[in-house]
Amino acid sequence: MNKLMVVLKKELKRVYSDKKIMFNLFVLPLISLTVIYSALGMFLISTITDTEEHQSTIYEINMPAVIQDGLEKNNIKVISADMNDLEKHEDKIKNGEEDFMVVFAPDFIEEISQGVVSSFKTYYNEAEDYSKKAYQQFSSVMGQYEKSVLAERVGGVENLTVYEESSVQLAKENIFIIKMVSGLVTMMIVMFIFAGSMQQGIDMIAGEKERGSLATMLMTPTDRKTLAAGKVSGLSIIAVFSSFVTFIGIILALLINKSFLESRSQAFSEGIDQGISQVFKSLQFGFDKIIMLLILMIMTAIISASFICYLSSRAKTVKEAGTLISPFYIVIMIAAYIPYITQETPKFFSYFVPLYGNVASIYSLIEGTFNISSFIVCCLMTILYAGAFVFFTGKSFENEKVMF
Amino acid sequence: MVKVTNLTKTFSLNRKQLKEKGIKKGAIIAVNNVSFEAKSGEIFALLGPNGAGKTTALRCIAALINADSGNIFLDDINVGTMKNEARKKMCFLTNELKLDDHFSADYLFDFFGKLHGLAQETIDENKKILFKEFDIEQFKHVKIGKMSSGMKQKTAIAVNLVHDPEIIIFDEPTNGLDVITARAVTDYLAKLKKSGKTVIVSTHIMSIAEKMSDRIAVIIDGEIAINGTLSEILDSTSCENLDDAFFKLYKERKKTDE
Repeated sequence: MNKLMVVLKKELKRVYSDKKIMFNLFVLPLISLTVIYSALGMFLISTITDTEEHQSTIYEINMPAVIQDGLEKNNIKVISADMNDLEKHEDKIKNGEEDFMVVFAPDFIEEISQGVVSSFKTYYNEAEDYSKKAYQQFSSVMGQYEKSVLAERVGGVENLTVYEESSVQLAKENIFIIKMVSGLVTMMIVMFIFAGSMQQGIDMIAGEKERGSLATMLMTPTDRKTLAAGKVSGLSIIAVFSSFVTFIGIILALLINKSFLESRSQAFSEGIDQGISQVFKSLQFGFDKIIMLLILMIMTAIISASFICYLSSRAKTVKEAGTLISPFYIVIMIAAYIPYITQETPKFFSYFVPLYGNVASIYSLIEGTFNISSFIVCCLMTILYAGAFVFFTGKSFENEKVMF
Repeated sequence: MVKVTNLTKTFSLNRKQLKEKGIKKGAIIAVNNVSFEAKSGEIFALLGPNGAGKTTALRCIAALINADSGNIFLDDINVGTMKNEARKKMCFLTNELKLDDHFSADYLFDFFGKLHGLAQETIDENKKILFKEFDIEQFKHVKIGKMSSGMKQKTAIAVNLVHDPEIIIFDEPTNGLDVITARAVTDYLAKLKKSGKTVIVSTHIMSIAEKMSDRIAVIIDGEIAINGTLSEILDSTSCENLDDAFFKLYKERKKTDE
């Protein structure tokens, strides 16, 4: 235990006495995460607020006065257009310079009053938020007009009612968006933890092996497994601190965007879009969720550190270690996106799989499908696998073919 | 005292070597049935050309790699079965053993002392002696990475001697050193010998073996060709100096191989 602490202290000193490493491990992720999340939030704020505040403009030809009134009551600007300029307006809508255009049949109102099916043609751009909004607003006014015409024909609105629907929405709508955002946040967290351990873990074992300083340590009467445990513990602490920084970065970003998240959650849950509302609610972490996320991040740091130490111990050079570890870095990033790709919540057995279990746990916590039994399984499995990786790292230190 | 009996070590051929030889399985005998004894208070030299098996033999003695067969005893400690006990008793110095560039000599001396299980007072005492011996005192707070290669080598030697071992194994002691550092190292080895320590060195430089050692074993192609004092070797080979004796033995060996 004493020698384990000696090795551990040395590995920590190696980090805190080097300004460059300190910056890369602790300052850079904090800045990047805060900036990335805040920028993401600000981008969403500007996009959504801008669309909400935008006054739609509709260009019309032959629009009946009754419809124009309806549109203007809904704060929509209506401008008369010339039939000769139709192509010009079409181009402008295509380029996002104008929102919407509608061309009514010349005798629209007369035809309808005679019971003849009349028509109008709309021009809009689905890819443009302003155009999409104008179309939705126009459709809503036209819907109300159609209802009033039908009511007149059948002698009252009540005659239009065939049945009354009463339903309870149980499924999460827009599960696609929830999974995508959960995957993205998980990927960011895991990426920083794994990258922090990777850089240091490679140098700690393969780097020392390459430079010949590990062989000097192996000449001392210190048990190989103690050496391995010391290095893994050191790297775990570094990775845990790195994950704390990641965590602080996320919290900072959430605090910066707090009012926005709350207002969005409120706005969306008022019926506009329950799926998006769920995502924003997920991102508003409660205290219990914060503690669980913190523990899961520590667990991820421990298993990443032990796994990286093991792989690093199998490599003869830093380059070889990098080649061995890099594919797993990519696998872990993909793992964060598996539930999004498959559109399925991680199954219980996922939590037994080393590393993937940790990724799946963080993902499920953010997605809101995590439970306490999965949490316990994930933590126990992490300790078990980390112990196994320490054991095998020690075995590698004993293996002359690997070490010399 | 170090007693090596019938030490044999083979290495499996790697893929490239197997391909070159056109075989599917094979091994190289690096050390074959080597036996010798190095006593306390003497310097024992393993003399041989590059690739003769000197380093492999020394690595087996230093418990860095396992022998396929044979016995190695450091006094009454069997290296094969009591590795950590053996490590407490000896140190293995080589150019391949380096120190972490990011730490100072002072920190690393303490670090390795603690890994040897020494008390801080003992570490401090040994540090004082060794840092003075190798002129490290004024550089003790300088990071290894900022030292000259000679200083690095001297610091590595000092750090590896932190536990004041009874047996010192030195693979190519003057390799890559400037004349001043090389002299400091050979002088120190002579000092260790005088204080009753067992010193084993490997070298391919005749003058080192001739000047420093009490007994010499010439190793060629993994086997001991001759083992004895300088005069015994010269008598046995009817040569006037070690250089001639070595080449005579080398040619004889190659003839036998053919």
